[in-house]
Amino acid sequence: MSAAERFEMIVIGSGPAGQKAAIQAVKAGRSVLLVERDRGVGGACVHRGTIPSKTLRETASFLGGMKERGEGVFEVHLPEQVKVASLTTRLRRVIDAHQGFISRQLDRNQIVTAHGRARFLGPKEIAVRTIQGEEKTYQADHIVVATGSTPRVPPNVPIDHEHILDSDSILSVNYLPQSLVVLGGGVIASEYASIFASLGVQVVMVDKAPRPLAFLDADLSERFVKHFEGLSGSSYLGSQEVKEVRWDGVSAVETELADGTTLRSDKLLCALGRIANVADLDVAAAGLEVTSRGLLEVDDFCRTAVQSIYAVGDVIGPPALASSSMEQGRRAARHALNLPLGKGSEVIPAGIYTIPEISTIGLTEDQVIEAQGSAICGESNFSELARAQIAFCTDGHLKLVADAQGRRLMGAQIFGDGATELIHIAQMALLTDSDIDLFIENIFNFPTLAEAYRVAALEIVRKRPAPVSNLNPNPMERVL
Amino acid sequence: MRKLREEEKLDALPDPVHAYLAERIASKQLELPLLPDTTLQIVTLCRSEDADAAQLTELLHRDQSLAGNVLRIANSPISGSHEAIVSLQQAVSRLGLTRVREISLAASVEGLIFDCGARKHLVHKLWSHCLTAALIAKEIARHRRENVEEAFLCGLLHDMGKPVLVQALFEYEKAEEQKLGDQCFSLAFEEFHAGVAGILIKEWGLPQQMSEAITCHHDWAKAEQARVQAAIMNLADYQAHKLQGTLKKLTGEFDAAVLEELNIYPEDLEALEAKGERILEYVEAMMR
Repeated sequence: MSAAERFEMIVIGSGPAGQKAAIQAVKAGRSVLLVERDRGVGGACVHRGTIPSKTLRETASFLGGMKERGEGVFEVHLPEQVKVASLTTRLRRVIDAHQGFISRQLDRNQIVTAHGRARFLGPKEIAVRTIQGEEKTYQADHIVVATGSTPRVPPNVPIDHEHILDSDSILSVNYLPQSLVVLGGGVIASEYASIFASLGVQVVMVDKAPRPLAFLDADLSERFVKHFEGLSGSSYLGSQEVKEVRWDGVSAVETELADGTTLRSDKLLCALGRIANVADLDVAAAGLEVTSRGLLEVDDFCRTAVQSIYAVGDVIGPPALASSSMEQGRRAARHALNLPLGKGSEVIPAGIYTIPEISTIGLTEDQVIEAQGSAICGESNFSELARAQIAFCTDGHLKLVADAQGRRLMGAQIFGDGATELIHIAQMALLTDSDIDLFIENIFNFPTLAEAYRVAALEIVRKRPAPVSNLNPNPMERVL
Repeated sequence: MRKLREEEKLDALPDPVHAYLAERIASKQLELPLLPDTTLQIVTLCRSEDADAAQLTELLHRDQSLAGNVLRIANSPISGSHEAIVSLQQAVSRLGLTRVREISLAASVEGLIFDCGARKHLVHKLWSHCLTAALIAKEIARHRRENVEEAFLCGLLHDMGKPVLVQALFEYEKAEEQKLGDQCFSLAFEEFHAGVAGILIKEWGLPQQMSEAITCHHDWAKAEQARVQAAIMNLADYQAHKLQGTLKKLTGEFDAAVLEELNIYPEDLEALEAKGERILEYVEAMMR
């Protein structure tokens, strides 16, 4: 093996977390090596995760929307092949565009890239083996692990990528199955279940949890289930244990549940979590250990137990969102290079790209009640908004959670089209500790979905405890 | 025009033959074989939302030779059956829709290949090569967590341009009243077989991506929409020749960049090659 090449920082993995760590270090004038085991940069986010699933969602939503917008005036009937062709063609274009953008960004910043599988030789040294089988060693003062995750394969689910798929192979379907069983009730399971259901596939979600997206406010997941079960005869089977999954050898995947029920479907999607990509890294050689959940443990600055090694993104576990991973990458690089970290924020929005979208930020009603004894909430149904009527998206809902006095915004949850964009209004209000009155005293465009904020805020104001004196008039009186 | 002697040694496809084939292809005058009706129906049925074993059995009953092939495979050790398969319904239930579709297509491809009359020896073993490449393509796709079904079909049909070219050159021989040497056929295969197979796939109404992957299976980097599928086919073709000891028949050199395109590391390739024996067993069972 030839002498090790030296860099000031090595980043393993070019997904959102790795990219941001590398770019941050280069911007600080440091030499950086970015190692990627796949052919293209971008990681699972670009090739098998965030970008592809959201592209499928957008296309499915568009195709479903065309049908709905016909309103009996005109009929839209798309042959199955057109639907699938739209999905896959668009997918390829979006992935290529995004990957091209990332590659150009890395080139522009003069980040050295290496294509190969990395493994640790020590706390500051790695070996990278190329496709051709050649191995090169590299050293750096700081190494950032951003290797991401892959779908978990439970022992009772024999994934063959033909009939029994995971969230990677579901992306290359070339025809729509008539029926699909989705194992899991998390974000990935819910997103794919709603995408396929909206394309006319009969989807059955099966999970241990009594309701899907259990980390959300119960109201939100109930809305999701209601909408989902209204599509193509789809359903959610909660509190279920999967005993066995098998391909019957003829025409169906059989899913045997512990209660004796057997579900038969054309295909099955297993979305029962993801596992961190640490197996090939030989972290023990660097003096690191993985946790019992197969993750790398880090401190508040994403530093592992070994001073020179940082870990960011899916390898450190929740929230495992592309958005938070980018911030982790940036902060890890800045901390490693002794650069000021800036004011970090705990207020991170969660975006779930189901059809329709779900997005949340801050605290839920229950969390505020637990912390303060009570909370005041205001709600708005999209069906009351002119823009939602115009845009055929009346199945939506926004909920604002305020403190016990109905003054300070504590959190927001949105179910409906545009939720992942609308949530940023609440984010800005939370970051600036804004009063609920902000939404009433300022003017929004009309007609817009953002108007929902005003409607919900007015309800909170209405519910406020009566003022003790006349010196603080209820702002509602000014607007009504 | 100088007539070619049958035994003449050639460096390249003679101009008149080249011009004849190029013109036939460009003017869409190639005689393309039709996919047998039953096979077409089986492929369509297996892709449809309402496919069921009963309909498939009924279709098989209409085609005796196909039914025979299905029964033969169902009774071979590869099906893993411990009981004798005596009925088509039993065979379909044992093999499954996907496997029956594979057998139907393979049998059709076999039929077209063996229609090459006096030049049969030129496409000898083509069927087993196609089947081997198809099964390898399926394993590559599985490794990449990609569409396994489409990879199989691409593999099975990737060399179908060859029997089509044999027919076209028969016509040339007839029109020009001359016999062409085997080398002339081989050179024509080298230059035109991939493109002709692509045309055939399109004609059979199979997906455009599949047609492109097959057209570009020797020149995968030229594929626009189906670059990965074309690369899978390129590697599967090479591996099939390697497995069957027919590497010298392969057009052009192996392009190592295909491994990079597919992100296949040496250990992945080793794992893939380890499946070779099982694949050959399956092919043998289908050929028997």
